[in-house]
Amino acid sequence: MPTDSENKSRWPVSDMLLRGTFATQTTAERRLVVRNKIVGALVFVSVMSARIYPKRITAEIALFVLAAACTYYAWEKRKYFQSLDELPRRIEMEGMAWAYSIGLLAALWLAGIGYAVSLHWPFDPKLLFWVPFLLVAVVLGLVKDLYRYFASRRY
Amino acid sequence: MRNDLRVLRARHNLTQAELADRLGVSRQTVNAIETERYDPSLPLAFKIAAVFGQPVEKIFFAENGSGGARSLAK
Repeated sequence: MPTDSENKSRWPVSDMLLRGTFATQTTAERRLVVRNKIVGALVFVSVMSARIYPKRITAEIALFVLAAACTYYAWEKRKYFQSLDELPRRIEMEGMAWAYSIGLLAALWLAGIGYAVSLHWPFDPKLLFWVPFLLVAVVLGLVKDLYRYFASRRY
Repeated sequence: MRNDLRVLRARHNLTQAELADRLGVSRQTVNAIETERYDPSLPLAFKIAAVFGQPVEKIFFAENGSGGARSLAK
């Protein structure tokens, strides 16, 4: 008969919170963890070099490495997501849906507040900080609409 | 959705991890199905049925019969 410990799901909390994985011990997960450590180390080295040698070229390299690392992380995360079985995948999907909704809401709120503030001080260019938030909200909305359109073509 | 997965697994002397391995899913997924907190997809339900050599409807059954749907069968 099943033991008492088998009645518990025992999700790997530390891995989920610190590494962003479900500790499934699969090849995809090991690849994600190892490659992300390498990419993280590269980012650290490039950012530190930019701090130690504050020249335009080191700053540009650091920026490039950071952008490439973020893109690579998203790519690896996508591959890991595809390797998950249906329950962790569903949990991950729900997490992404919440992140999207809260991100969109936060961007719209900040854009709205920033715009309201800028109406009172229209000549200070620093107060146009609401524009990036509005752009983020527009991009998020656009990506979701495009996904909805293309996904609906498949069914 | 209710199921007899726990009973079947015990009858076959399998641990959750062993069954999960056979199904190609995580142990947590098997646990969630057993404790009826998660309803598996149709492909996974059929896989489970294949592992135990039983039809799907012998393992999984609706809690409230047809769920209000009117059957065409007389």
